[in-house]
Amino acid sequence: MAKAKLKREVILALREYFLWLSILSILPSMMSPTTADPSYYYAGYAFKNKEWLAPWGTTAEIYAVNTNVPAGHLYAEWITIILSYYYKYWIQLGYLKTYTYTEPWFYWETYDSSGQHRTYVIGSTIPGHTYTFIIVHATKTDLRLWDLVIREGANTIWSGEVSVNPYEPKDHRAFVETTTTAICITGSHFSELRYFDGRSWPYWYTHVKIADLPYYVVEVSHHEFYANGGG
Amino acid sequence: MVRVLPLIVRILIFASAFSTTVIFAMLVFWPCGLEYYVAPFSINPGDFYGAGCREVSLDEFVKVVSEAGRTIYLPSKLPRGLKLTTIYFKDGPFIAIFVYGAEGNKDYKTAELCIEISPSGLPPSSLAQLKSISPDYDYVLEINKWLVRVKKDAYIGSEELRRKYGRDRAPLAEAWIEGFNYLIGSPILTAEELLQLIQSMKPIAQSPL
Repeated sequence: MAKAKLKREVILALREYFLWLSILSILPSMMSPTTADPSYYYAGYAFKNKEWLAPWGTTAEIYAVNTNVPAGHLYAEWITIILSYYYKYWIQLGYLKTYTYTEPWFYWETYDSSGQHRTYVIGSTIPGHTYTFIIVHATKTDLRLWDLVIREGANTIWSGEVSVNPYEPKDHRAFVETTTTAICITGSHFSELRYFDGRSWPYWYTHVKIADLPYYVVEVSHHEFYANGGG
Repeated sequence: MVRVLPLIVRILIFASAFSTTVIFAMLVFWPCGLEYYVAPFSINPGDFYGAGCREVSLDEFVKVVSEAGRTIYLPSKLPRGLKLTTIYFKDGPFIAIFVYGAEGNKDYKTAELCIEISPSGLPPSSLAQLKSISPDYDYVLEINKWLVRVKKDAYIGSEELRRKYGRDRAPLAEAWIEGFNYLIGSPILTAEELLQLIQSMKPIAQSPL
């Protein structure tokens, strides 16, 4: 009798456990940050150069802006090295804010032939601070390796190494990106845009301005701009 | 008679189910320990059209390349009725995208075959080095003394290509020819067809395509 009662209670307990498990398992997908709309809007500079080769490194100082993000959307401010335009491979470093965050977070992202589309958030920014983002080839025997560095002033906040294939740079970009024009990016500021020529880091000395309406770019120089609008 | 478990047992059951869910979520979203993995949404660096490229004729492109004292190679044989539809070119840094299609599609984002050509700043020094950095490639070899590698199922990052061809993997070939890097991708061709295509490459002035 007692054995049968115990058996019934175990079955009841298991049933309740799996019931809770199925209810709770819905939560992560509800909390997961996804975009509702695949549209992208840009404001910033594409790299323009008189050199034959794409440089093997790029860097910029980016002011951390904290602005409102509607549900299902995000904005990001980044530097990128393009590895392929057709299949779309790249290395990207910057900060982003999705509607689930209260402040922008640093991240890095790579797309390459391995299929490892990776986006990693690596700590939060302090809005109002300016950070230096650096992507530079590691120049090691393993040609796939690139170094990523985030600094504030002289302090290195984070550094890491990523491996990509194909590994040769095709182009560079520095942009504010949003997934809806309802996001106001006013105050965005990129400065100290430089490229790596193999020995030193000269300034970008020409550029292509890109701004999707309602966003606009205020050009200060080839290596500095403000991006405003939206909202 | 409805049997109900004691409250303390029910709380324990909820706690264990909650812990299981949290542990599972952490394993999925924190695969690298301290870094928070957020792959479900996509950031996009923009396209070639917005990078200051222009559409050029083959004659114009040949002129630019020959003035620089360089030689570009293009396939002399193309499978499946493919033809060169257009060329997008950006100088400084030099990038050319050759677009091929069987039905005249000129949009590189959805083309059936694209060849991206850019000067190579750091080519592999030998076949051995190329092999060492290509562990997941299916062919790593020399063709016409050029270093070549092909991956049968390279990931397609482009949403436009994935949508049009209904797949997220396709062959990708890479060749280093006389100072240039050639990235050759096609969602409709096989890896072996890409190898044959590279084998047929000839200096641009001699290419009938």
